Amino acid sequence: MDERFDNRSESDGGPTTPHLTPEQITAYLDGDLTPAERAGLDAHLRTCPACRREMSDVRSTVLLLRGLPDYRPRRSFQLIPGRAAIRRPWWERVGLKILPALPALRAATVAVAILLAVVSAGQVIRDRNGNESPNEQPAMLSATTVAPTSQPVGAAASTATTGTAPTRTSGPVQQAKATQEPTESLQANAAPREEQEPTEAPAAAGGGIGGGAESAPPEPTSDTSSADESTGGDGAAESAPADDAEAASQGAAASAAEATESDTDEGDTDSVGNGEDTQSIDGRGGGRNDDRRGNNHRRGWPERLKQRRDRRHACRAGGDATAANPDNDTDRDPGNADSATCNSFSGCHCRDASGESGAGRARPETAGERRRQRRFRVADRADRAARVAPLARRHRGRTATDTRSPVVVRGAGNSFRQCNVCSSRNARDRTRSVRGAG
Amino acid sequence: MFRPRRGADPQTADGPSVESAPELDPEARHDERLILAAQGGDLPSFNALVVRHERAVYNLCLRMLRDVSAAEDATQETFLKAWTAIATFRGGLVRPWLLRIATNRCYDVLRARGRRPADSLDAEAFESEPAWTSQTGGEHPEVYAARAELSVHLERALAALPEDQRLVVILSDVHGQPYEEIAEITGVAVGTVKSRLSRARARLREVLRDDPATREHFARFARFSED
Repeated sequence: MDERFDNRSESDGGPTTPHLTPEQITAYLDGDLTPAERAGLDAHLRTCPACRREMSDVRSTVLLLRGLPDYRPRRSFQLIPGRAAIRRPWWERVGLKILPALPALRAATVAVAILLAVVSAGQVIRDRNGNESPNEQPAMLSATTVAPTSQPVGAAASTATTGTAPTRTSGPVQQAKATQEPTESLQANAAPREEQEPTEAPAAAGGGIGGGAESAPPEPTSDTSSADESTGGDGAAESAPADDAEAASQGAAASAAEATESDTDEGDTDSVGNGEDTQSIDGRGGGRNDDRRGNNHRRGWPERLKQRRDRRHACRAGGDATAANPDNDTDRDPGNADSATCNSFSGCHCRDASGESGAGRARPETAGERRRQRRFRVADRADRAARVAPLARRHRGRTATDTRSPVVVRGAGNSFRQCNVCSSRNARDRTRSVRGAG
Repeated sequence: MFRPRRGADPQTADGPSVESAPELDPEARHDERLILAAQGGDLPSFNALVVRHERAVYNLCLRMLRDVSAAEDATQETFLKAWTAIATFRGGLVRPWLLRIATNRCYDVLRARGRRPADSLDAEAFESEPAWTSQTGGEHPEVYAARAELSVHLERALAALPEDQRLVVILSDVHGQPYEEIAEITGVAVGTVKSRLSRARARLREVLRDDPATREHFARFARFSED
């Protein structure tokens, strides 16, 4: 191991006994020797400088080890009376009963069990619905898209969506869904046709079009591509399986960061529309299910609106900040008496009517806005993605990582709620009732 | 300066954590009282035991796992396990019993990590606030400086040791446990403990003496410790 054992020749007047082994050194240092053994080692050490050095080095090492610092724990490990038992997450507790031996498989077991339950429940529902109404599309066999059984045929589409209120779903499916997305369900509405209205509670974010009331909702101009029309379904029962399955498979994890104003038309190939409602692309029909269908979204932004939006959110678009001119806005939007605050998450928070175009974050005026912004500020990315996952699913073809939520745009006497992603303006009556705006 | 720890005289044991004579040690007697009360279901008594031993358990876990949060988890699980299995405590010293539970827990974690030695080799000095033990007080400033410098390298060399050797050398030289307790904690024979300890010390000595970064400090420290 070192020179002591390499030159064991004892002809050069060196030690007459073998060099010390590491075990002997350890025993010597630890006092684990009989007096006779110790005397023998001492005799060797007197004549062998190499072993003396070795002994000295190991002794120093042990001294250093003994003097190593204690690390102070950051917290105490005392047990708390009520919580002396480990509280495991529910899937582990369930899995523990099913599969006590393999901890790694517990969560997977529970997940598979839930999936099986949902699939079989969906199968049952589909069979039953198929008997009742042959025209109706089958329910989705995914955990997030479940068709209810209590809806009339005509309204089935509005419930067979991701945002369906859990109260409308049936027994085991409802439970499985409730455990997975307890907070993301839309409110159940009296009018089934309005259910597509996005009502995410933490709608803290406004998109690039959350400006004045009249200006933001784009009219169905000729720019709206014919693809929209051709793919625009009747918005009813054809919440098509392919649509939703695809949307669900995209999920929150899909990372195709697609710009909101991108003109891409992909995803519209699965057109199932019969064209009876295709004129009201923007939802002017008063509550079509555009959002869910994903086919009716405006794929192309009219150049005029793009310019207007960029001007409005100059800071966000990196454009000319001075262009956010109140005069321009009021000229274009004479009815915009209320100063609709731009609450785009990464945006400018400028107040359009007053012409304030803050490049940074302006302090929101209302407590609700402040609360919402605070909530989103602390929410991490994943949290936000989970929050808007249903939204992203609804807006198939848009990016699933788009974390913007629908924004409420209020104008004088013309309240409506506009989707930030697809710019659809529907449910104009709901807004008034929900927000009390007028 | 250096005194053998395992002499015939139990008074030669140094370091505050050494419990070499359980029959005479008031600390051990106090532990015994506490654990008797804890066996009767008294959680405050058990928590008093936790306070007395948590630092040792935590430091063992930290040096074995090289990760602060993993060490915290392992420490908490150690005490939870001790609490739930307190009926199985059959007398003797409390600290080796706790260290044995902690050792098993650490081995579980290391096994779950897939035994990637690269992890420990790459491990930098963990982010934790060290508190120097009392025996370093009152020494020559130069020795103190050399010790502080060498400690970082020593921790790194410790992390590079095979787990079995690391565990034995930590239990023996850092925690001051005697051979017999180490054999019980690790579940191997005393002879195996001795040979692992010898190899571990030799390896550490080699690193400290031959590494250009530590050679000078180590020589200085050895010179001072000779006196």
